[in-house]
Amino acid sequence: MTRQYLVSAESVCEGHPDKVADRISDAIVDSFLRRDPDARVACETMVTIGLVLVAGEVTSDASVNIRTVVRHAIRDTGYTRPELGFDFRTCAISVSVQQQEGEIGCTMGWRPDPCTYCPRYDGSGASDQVIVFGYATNETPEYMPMPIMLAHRLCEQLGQVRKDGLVPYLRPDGKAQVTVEYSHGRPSRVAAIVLNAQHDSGVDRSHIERDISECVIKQAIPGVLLDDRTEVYINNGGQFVIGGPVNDTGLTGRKLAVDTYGGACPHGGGAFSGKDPSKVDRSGAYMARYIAKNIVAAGLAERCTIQLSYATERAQPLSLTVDLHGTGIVGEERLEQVVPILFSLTPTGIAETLSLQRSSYQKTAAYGHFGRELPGFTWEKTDMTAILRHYAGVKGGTDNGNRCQSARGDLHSH
Amino acid sequence: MEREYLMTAESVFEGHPDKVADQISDAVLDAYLALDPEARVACDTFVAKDLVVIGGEITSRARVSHEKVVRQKLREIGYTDDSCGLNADTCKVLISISPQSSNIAQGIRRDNGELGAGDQGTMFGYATDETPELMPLGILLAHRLSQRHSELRRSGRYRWLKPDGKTQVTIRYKGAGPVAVTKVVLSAHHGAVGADELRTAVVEEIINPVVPNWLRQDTTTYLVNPAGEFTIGGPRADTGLTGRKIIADTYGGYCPHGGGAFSGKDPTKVDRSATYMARYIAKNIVAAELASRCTVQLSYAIGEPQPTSLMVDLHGTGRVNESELVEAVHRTFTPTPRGIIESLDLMRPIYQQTAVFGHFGRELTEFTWERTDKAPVLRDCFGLQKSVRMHLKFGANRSGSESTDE
Repeated sequence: MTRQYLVSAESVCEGHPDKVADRISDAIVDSFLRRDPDARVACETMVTIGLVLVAGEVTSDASVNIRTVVRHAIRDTGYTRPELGFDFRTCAISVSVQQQEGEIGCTMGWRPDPCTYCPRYDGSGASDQVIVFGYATNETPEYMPMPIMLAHRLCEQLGQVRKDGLVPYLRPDGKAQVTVEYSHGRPSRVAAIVLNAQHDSGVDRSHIERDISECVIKQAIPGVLLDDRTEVYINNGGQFVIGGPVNDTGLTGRKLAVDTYGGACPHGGGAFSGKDPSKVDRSGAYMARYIAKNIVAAGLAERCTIQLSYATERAQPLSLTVDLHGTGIVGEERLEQVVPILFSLTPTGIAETLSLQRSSYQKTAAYGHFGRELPGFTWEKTDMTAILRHYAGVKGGTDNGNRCQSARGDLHSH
Repeated sequence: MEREYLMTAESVFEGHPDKVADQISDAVLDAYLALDPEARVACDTFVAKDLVVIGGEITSRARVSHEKVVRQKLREIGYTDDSCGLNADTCKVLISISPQSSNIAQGIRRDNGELGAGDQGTMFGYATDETPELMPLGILLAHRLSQRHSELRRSGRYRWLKPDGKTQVTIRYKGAGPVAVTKVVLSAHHGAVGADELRTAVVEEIINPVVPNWLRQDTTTYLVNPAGEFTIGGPRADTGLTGRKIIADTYGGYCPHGGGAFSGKDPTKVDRSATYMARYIAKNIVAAELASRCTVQLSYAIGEPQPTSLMVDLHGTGRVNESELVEAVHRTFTPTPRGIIESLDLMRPIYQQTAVFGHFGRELTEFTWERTDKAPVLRDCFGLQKSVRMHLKFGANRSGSESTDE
């Protein structure tokens, strides 16, 4: 692996229409779970000009005013001014959510999507055949691939300077893409940054470029990764005044690569937002990340992909595949034996291990589900490293945390 | 490398709510492209219960009756009465279509006639020599099952067969090659029929004709409607959204995905066109026998015609240097938005058929991205002679077995 190659990944801001839809769906999940931790929720959202549509199925005794939840979620994404063309106070909301009480939902029979046929936690099986992937790499301190991490940082910073009023003319929509150059299999520099930020009309492009370069790019991207050859495209499409749901329809579950690893590993295809944690589409992917991250943090490999697949008739996964991409210090077969002993992989076990019924999912709906060490992101804990090393038969030594210190220093030096 | 592992891929039937949404979006796209090849279309569909909403941005000289297109498509799929989950003639159709933002249109056009990318994005293409179509076996078989289901339903021989359903195929690999189908799960939406009759029909008429003998073993299990009765299906049971089956649309989890959906997007959008291009590149590399597996990644910046990155990963199976191959790809293919449209002839109303049964691995004439005409050019770049054709290898592999060719 002496060659150099480029890897790109993108992220979008919380005002991006697809992300607005994700957030609304997750806000509904949160509001049911807060009142009823056993609630079963599957809800999809479409956001278009002046209109929000919510549809889905809920099994819960809790009563939630979905319209209010929707308006609050839109307010939190930043659509609070009439001139944005989409306003949380005035947009029309159509709700078509079928709610059933308590146990009845489980006898409803098979439904075409994994999310809706949902046995309860009590010793139940997974809802359908579902494949999920988890990934971790030691190329950043968060054990995430660098391109997606940097893209998220740009978007998050863009949102921050908008909310702080530091760049007052910014509007909620926007997106970023980062291309990282790898050499010898490690990230060496940022080759290109593409950033599009929605803004008020009448702001000069050069003004925007200067502000974004100073307040966003330089704050979000460590200086050591930037050089003279880094190509930067700021609002390269020209004016970006009209944005958000006015410009583009938003749907739940349409940003799967942004939500996960930016294309660094395969995806099973199941979306996260709008699903309660009994659905292995979501919880299995969180568990797969937890396992992969702990394996890498334990220093057992530099990169790790976990694939889990579940079938209708049983709670235990049908298959567990560990891929260490040739970077492992232990055998993959060994880990495939050890992981099911150390990690509970049933839907019930996952929800308990990761306290998923108490999580707040709205926070996950923008800037990624992984690589964020915030309260509630229990799948980012690295509390299994010692026991993994022990079971894998690796004695002594230190874990990967130390190896990452230099990278951590670089990234946090600004 | 002789490690054994399982890979599962899924495909959904024509009447699956998400696929209904995809097909409606692409039907709208085709309706515009048929009248106006310059149309700019981004159309998303939301199907819930008896309500169909289409939203999006369309800029075109053509006049299209969206409602008519929607109802026509639903009828074609087979949602013609309430008992099957939706009635094409009586469902509510809501249209929220507006002209595309001039902000974006401005970003696309360049002075020299070249198109800049309309958006940023990352796209992947993949090819593998495990099947003659150079597609991963799991996803290919899953799509074949869906297709067979559709043929059978349309033949009218089993009137209880309804449009919705899905199927999953699990393949056991040893090293890089598939050795067996370990499991087929098929859930078919149905009317009044006994469980035994349903199972017999599904196994004999759908699964057996599709799964080749050489992959069947004594331990191969078939699960037909494992969750029991499936009489309530289609949009009545579940909400459908455009672009929610992007893994089934592509390679079934065998390679990464950039996240961009296809359906409802005209070919000036790199999300769609560049993913087709990435497949075209990967397939030609494998067809040229420069590698037995290949992943191509492209990425674009809004307004820029040239990709910001092009990466080729041969997964250690390459016969040539990957950096030199990237050079050769740049010389052989034109991965600019305009270049892709021209080399793959994409400004045609061909998209409805891509919206079901997969966008890749189907060697239909309209699927120009499946051609392998650049393979000899790529071989020339490395001074390689013509060698044994790929399918001969397959003939040897499955000696005496039935072919999966259509």
